[in-house]
Amino acid sequence: MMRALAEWLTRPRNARAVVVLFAAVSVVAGWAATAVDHDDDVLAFLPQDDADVAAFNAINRAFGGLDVAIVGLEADNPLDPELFRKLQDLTQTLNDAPEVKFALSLANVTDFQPLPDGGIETGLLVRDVPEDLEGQRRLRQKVMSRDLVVGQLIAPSGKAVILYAFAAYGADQRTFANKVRREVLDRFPPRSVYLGGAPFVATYIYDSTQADLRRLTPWAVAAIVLFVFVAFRDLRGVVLALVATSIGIVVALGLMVLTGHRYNIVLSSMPVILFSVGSAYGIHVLARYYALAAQWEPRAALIEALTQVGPTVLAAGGTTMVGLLSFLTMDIAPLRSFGLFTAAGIGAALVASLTFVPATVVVFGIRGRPVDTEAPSRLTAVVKAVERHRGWMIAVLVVASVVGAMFVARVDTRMDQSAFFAPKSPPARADRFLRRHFGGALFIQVHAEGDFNSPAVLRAWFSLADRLEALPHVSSVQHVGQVLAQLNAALAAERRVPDTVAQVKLLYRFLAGMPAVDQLVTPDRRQAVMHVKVNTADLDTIDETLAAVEAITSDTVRGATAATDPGPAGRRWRGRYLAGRVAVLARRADVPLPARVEDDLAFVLAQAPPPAKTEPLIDHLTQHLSSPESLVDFGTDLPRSRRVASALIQDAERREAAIIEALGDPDPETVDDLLFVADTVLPVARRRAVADGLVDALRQHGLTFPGGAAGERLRSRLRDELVFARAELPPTEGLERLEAQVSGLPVLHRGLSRSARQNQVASLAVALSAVVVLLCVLFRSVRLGLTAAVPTLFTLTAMYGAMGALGVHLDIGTSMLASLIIGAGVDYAVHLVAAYQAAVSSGASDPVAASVSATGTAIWTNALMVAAGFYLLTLGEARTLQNVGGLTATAMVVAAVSTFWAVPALWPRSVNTRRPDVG
Amino acid sequence: MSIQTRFNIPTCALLAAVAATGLASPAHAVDANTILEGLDDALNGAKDQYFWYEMLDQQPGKDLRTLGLEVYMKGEKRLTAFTAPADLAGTKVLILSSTRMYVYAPAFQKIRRVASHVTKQGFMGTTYTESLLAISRYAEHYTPKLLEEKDDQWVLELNEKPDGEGPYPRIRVTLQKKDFLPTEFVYFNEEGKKMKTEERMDYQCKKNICAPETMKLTDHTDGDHWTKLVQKEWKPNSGLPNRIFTKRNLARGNTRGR
Repeated sequence: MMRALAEWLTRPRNARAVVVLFAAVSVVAGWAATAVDHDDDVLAFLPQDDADVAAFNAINRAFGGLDVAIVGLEADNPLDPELFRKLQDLTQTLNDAPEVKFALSLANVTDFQPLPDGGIETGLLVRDVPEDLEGQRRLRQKVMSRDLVVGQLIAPSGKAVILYAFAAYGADQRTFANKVRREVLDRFPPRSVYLGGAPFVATYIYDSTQADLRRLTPWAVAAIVLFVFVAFRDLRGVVLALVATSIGIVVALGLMVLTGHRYNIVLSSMPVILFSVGSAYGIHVLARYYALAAQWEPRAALIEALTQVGPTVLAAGGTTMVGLLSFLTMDIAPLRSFGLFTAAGIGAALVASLTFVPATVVVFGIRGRPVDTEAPSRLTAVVKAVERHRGWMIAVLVVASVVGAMFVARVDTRMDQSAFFAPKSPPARADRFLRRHFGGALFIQVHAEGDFNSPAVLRAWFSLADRLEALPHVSSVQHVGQVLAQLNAALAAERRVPDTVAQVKLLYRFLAGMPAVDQLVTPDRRQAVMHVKVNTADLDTIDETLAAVEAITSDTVRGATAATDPGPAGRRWRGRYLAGRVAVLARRADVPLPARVEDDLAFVLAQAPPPAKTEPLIDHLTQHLSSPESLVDFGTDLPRSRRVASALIQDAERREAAIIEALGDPDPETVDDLLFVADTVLPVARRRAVADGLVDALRQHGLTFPGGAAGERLRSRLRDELVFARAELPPTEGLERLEAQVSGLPVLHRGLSRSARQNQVASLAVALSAVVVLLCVLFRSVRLGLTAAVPTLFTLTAMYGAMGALGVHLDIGTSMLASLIIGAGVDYAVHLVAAYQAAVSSGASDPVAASVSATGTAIWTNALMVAAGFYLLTLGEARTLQNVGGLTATAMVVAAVSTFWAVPALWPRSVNTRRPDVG
Repeated sequence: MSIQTRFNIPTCALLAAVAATGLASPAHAVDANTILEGLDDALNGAKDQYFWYEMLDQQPGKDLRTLGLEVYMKGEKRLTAFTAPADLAGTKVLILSSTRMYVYAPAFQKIRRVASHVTKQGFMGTTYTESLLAISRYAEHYTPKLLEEKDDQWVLELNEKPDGEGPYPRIRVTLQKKDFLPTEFVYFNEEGKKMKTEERMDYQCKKNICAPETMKLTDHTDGDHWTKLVQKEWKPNSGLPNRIFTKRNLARGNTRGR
């Protein structure tokens, strides 16, 4: 069949038609290729079918977690007036930019504090930085006293600040990241700036990979061309082979447009792969033609060349396509596209090599010179030596394979940031900055579904956060309960979860439209997410922390329904909740915790509440009546306020008379107002008095308080929380429907690892079995088929063994390696075995010399040019390209070496003399 | 990602400032200062006013939100009472002066005095900010320049005075010649970039006082997020009693102006 095709092709009229046809196809495909759309969505590389990955994606899309850019600034004094003005300017400029929904920093964070005569004052935490040092010191003290700001916007060390920029709805991620980067670098020196967060990371991965490919691809192609030219020293032949490969690239791109697929960063490496692998086909045809044309008439030589090498080239191309098509078993869409269209490109280059190349030879009357066989003659000696000592060679091969296999077991499929970034890359720098100054850069997320309008659910959420914050490697936890508690402090002067659904709903109203809150709870309050910051980069420790978070989450959610129990179980739950709150507050204030705080609280809760002392109640009411918030204005007349306060604490039936007695002859409206005060303020005064008693009890049980303002803050916070100890059991609806699951980057990495492992196994199994079957059919011999497959098997073992020994992880990039090795590496053995089979069948006196002479140069040239092309990719910045490029380059050399080592050691002395003929 | 809260309820009370529009006599002089004075007079003509608004807010990518609010104004005093949605209904804000503001939330049964210095953040996630709503007399803060004169309109450019405290450094106002009523405000930042556009439409007049039936403020820096105030009821100069503007009424009164 191949001979018939060759005879048809070598007729001048047919040859001209083929050349014209290819020219037309190239023009059409090239025109279509200009419309190819680029896909810069790095998230598309996540395996969408994996449950962990799907959950991570869903959570982060719902809460906008992937839309936040983090700008870190390192400075000895972030509150330096000049630096702060720049931060103000940056924050304002970003807030004015259409790409940015909201930018938050110390320059615009709001704060509230109690007014001395009652009420609250709200405003910017830092309006302006004073020029004098004393003023700066006081400002720093104020800023560092705000526990929701320290560790979030300013480092606990006071040596770094963070700006968060939230992308506008629908904003292009790269445009957004580039806008933020440009504005930051316009104001601050690059050395002091750290850019983190998903938009910067995704943009970095895409940009660095694209930049590497743009910069390195021409060099890789040049290296390939140089190798081909040095080997064949025939410019026209080299150009012809490369034109055939270019046709493959153009056709692949055209097909992408026609089928509606988009070009992605993995496909950007297609030119290198096609030039290095695809150009071999034309070269094999031309090399054989040149050799035959030295003795034969050109047309006959071309027909014979195609007849001899055509089936082999077809088989080599077929195995490469099978290797690439095995990517279709993967669960990552861009990798499937890569496999499909690179295989299409190989197919087109293959067809062009077997039709367009010989047709062009006919049309232009190309006659080259035979390939120099000096190198193969040395190689022949080596191959003959291998054949002579085949027993030893096989033994060495087996031993090497066993050793390699032992290390294969050590290949680690755990994935982390280092799989994607070089240590000096901007995301890695930002990672280290966040660990150094802000207690970590890695977040575990706990996602929950339930009614987050319910105070009971919010308390369960707080309880979970407190337990997680107590874990050794958790530096902080953020959740919506904290925000509500802070706002509750503004409205109700108690920093804790409000008591009623109505209160919670009202607080949410005041938080509407705040991007930072949207990251914690959905607008319908049916889902919430908790961000658990982990302060380690050690993979084992992260795994342990993740397991602990999963266990605590499950336990807390399961046990939360105990809060509905009016008996001992409910009391225990309440004691545990309060103990968690006390523990967190004490730890944040750097105060040692009494050993048995949970038991102490449980004991106190089990007792009947002590009668409230009257003095604290009168103090509280007097303070209220003297404040501008009082319905009745007593001004500065404290004795009068105190008299009225004493009247208000009387029993309800005596209260009105007591008020009239205290005020003489008040108007009925005043009495009515004071009764309203008694109804609304007195219960608050009572529960605070009880909470104060509990704080004193804790002090007696060993809780120490720091001096000064810090001690007062701790006491006030504890009192606010302990109000819940004696509060009436609030409604607990919603708890029974509370469900939670753990997600976040560590879980995503777990999913990615699983995906990489599954992809590896599936694609390897498909590619390997398909190639072995193909080879057995090609050579019409199971033994020859297996012999041709052995070098590839050995290369796989050696490469994965090396990965295991060197600690190179299996990741998205390296999981492509096996298919590339199978696709490209098996070609060498195919050519050598086919040539040997042909030599034996043709009765050559020295089949070994004949086969090595026919294929040696082409195999080594191809191996070295593929290695050179891929090696050049390692010179870039993109970590994934470095891994894939370096390993593939090495694998090609190993495949070539093992071909000339394993095949002669295994091939039979006599073979099936029927030529391989895929036709 | 960080957590912080904004607490700017008093902003809502200042909505009234926007609504306070009164009709002055049509001017014949056309110099920029005279036009701006005419605008200020047109915006500050009523002795007292009552409004009932429906407030619609559309953030890009989110559901349309609807709020209901009543606004009572008399001199410097303002009371805003929310009527919808249910979880906000009954919440009131009383402004007695620039330093005396009170908030009452029925869910908390508590009057809270608030002194707010946060003026540039959106009120309850809308495009309206306190600084934008607080301004009622532009001539105090801006120097006018006549940009364009059409048959029935003037276009003024207002540049903030060195000691001015306007919401934006530059404003472009389009106003009707016949009554000095503004139909469009375009706000620019320091770099001259367009930040927000406010449209005031469908003026309704009672005696000498006019008010727009619809106001729409679009934020161009936030994906054209818009907030619209649709007037449901309006009573100018109805003689609102002083007791409406008291803490007692805030906490205990059932203030209904309709």
